Amino acid sequence: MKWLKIVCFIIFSFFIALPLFAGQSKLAQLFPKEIEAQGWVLEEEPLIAYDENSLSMIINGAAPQYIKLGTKRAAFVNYVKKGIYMMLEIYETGSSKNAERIYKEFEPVNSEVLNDLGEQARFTSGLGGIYMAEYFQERFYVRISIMQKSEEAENAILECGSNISDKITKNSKP
Amino acid sequence: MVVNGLKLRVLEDNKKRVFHLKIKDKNQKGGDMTTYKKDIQDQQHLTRRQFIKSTAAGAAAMYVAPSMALGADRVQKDAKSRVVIVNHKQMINSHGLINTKSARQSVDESLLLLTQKKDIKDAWLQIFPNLKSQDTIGLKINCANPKCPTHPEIVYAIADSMIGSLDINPNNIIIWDRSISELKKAGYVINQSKKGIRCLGNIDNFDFNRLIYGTPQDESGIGYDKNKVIEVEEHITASLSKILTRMCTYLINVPVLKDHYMSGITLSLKNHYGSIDIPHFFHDNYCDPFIAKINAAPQIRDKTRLIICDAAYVIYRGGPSGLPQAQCSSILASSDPVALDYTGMQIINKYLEQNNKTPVTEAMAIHVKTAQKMGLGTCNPDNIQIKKSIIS
Repeated sequence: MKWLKIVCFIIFSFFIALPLFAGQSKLAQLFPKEIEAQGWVLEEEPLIAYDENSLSMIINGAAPQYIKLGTKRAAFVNYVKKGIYMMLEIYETGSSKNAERIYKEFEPVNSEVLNDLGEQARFTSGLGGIYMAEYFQERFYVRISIMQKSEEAENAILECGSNISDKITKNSKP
Repeated sequence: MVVNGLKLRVLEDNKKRVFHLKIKDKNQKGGDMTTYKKDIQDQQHLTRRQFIKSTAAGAAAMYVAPSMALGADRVQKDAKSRVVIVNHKQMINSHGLINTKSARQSVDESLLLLTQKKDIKDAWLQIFPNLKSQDTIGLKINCANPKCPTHPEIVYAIADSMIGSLDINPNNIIIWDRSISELKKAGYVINQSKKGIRCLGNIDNFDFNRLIYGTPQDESGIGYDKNKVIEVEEHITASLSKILTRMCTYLINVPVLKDHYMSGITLSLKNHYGSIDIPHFFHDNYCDPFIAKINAAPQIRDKTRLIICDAAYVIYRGGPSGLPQAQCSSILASSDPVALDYTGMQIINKYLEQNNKTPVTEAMAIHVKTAQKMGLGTCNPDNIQIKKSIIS
């Protein structure tokens, strides 16, 4: 009887967890493994948040704002090369409209338009020695930041963005 | 779990926690869900009792003698809370980085103005009059947004100024924040050794197992003190950082000048969300009265001697995340966190007005007023004395 309970519990657990892991896989498929060939090392295991509480653990008080703008899931990956961090954030929303809302909500000062990336993209040479690229594509809002201003950093950020964009396109194909 | 060649950690909703807890419980105790829920309830009762016991003395002290609270001018003897604003024209170089020499000049100038002393050594001695050789001073910084953190150049300028003025072993200075991961991203080098200024995080990083229990307790890191809890909301207790409760004798709060989507502003008072284990539980109602309650904890209120706000850059809209939006090139200093936060809010509002944006209202940053009501300082402009200095 005890074993039967355990087996039933495992089966029940499997079906409960199935949708959770299915969603997780889709978001994880967007991570740009290609940039690792350029020496960018994954600093730690990627984090995926599924709700306001877990998102708050990662981005602190900004979480409710992203949830309000339609975020369903979000992934955070950090790459490091020679002590410089490249931070990748992917916010998955319910629709392209919501992804655009996030893109518009966080408009930085003095950004320039990037062509051929996502539906709309911009590049910001930010204050404090930071480069940042952002775009939205389908239901995803993508933000990549590097804590250094150099030609190498600019190339890395754009290549990373392009890799993710290709993966979004590839994954949306039936 | 491995997906696309990457090992993932999934952070889940606390509502889903129960499911995992049962598995854990099964392995460890063999109990069922009912047993488990009872365990949690008992734990909550225990922590509340512990809380009442541990904070009763502090609460009584605050009630009997509100003038002993932090905001009541530890540094300056006059009735008003002094807030100093030092603007350094050379603080930021052409690459957008902080000039270390200017950072040190700004820190020293802010302390001289705050204490009204002519010598920086005398200024530090006024702030820490009874410092003993075994005492440890913690610098609680803010790296929650690595794009606009408390800058290492400013934090180390404070530490170096202390080392040069006080008889303190550099190893007795601890720069700390919520997680090692965030500290590294903000440019800090972790130092847990017995040499040099230490740099520590409460937790190593977010971990699946920690979140199963709803709190980021880190078994491998320094973690949180289960014996020092604050009842931040009814039936919800938060544990304080062990760095704060067990390692630091005194505290210097070093926040960043940012607005906050939920609490209007995030300066010295809100910075202590990084001193507790479950900050994500307390963002309702503009984070009020949670921010004030956390700051009223004796371990924070009584240990804090100084607040130095890094206003090299400012995020005035859409914070706390995102890029810095303007170069402020300043440092704010005070011994009154409420007065400093009120002053910081006025600066943020000036930037908002300049950009034709709606200012942060006192109704939104209600925690500042609540902190005043709890005796943590003053946000009455009539009781705040602002001193400005410009270094060119």
